[in-house]
Amino acid sequence: MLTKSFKELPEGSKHFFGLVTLTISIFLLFFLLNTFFYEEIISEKLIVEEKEQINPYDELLNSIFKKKLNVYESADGYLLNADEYKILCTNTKIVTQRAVMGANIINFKAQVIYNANGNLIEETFVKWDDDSNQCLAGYILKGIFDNEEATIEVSGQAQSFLNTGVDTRVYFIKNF
Amino acid sequence: MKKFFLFGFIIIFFSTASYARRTGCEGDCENGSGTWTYTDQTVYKGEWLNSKKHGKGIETWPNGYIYEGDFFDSKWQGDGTLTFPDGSKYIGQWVEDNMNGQGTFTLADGTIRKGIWKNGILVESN
Repeated sequence: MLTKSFKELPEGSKHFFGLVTLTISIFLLFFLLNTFFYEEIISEKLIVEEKEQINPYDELLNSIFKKKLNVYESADGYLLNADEYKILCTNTKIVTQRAVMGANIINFKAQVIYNANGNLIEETFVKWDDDSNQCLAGYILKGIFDNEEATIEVSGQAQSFLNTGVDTRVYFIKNF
Repeated sequence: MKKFFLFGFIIIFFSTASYARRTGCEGDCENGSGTWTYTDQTVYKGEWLNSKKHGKGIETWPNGYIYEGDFFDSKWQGDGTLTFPDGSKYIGQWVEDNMNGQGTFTLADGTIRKGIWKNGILVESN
């Protein structure tokens, strides 16, 4: 039935269908080859070189399975030690929207500008502060406040991080 | 071949349906009581009026903030308690998502700031 319907199709459709089938077949073939022979293709030498280049950050993430990484004790997070905290801090670049919204609760001006801007953030930063031995995170907002152009920087200690499995992001900024 | 397509369709249907259950509404999120789960896993459980959070409810953010109390027009307004991720807590009055009115802010280390708050700032201790 299906074969008969296929034969009745115009030549152009048949060619197109054939091309799609061929493309999918090639992808599948390479997928299967990659699945079964990947380890053999990669030489042991390359693997050793990769191991030598492992970043302490990657090593740390691989050893931590929980998604929340905190500097305080909590029921659903992993408690970071001082070394882990610093490693995470220096390798984290992203500040989550929820971290920004949380910090905004304590900063009215920032909240007004953030909402008026449609949640647009000008700039975010995460940096290690040697003086306080803390990870500082924050963001800069630009917008109108009280009918005047305003630029505001909100910052505080990054006390919680989200491990996405790909990277880490600041999850809680303590700005009070 | 038909069986193959049917099998594929069933798999896609059930995986989509199971994902959909993790977001959106359970209950009545228009006029009544229901739980709304946002895509970032923020969860609001409580009362609704005209599809807005209105009445008593509890909102839990994925990063650990928990607000429990009164909602008005989807905003934190009335009496409510906000627990911060580190355990700090504000118990008091709210206006338009901000600490406004009488309230007590207890920091994680036990320090207490009590008094009248205006837009998140303690303006008068008592």
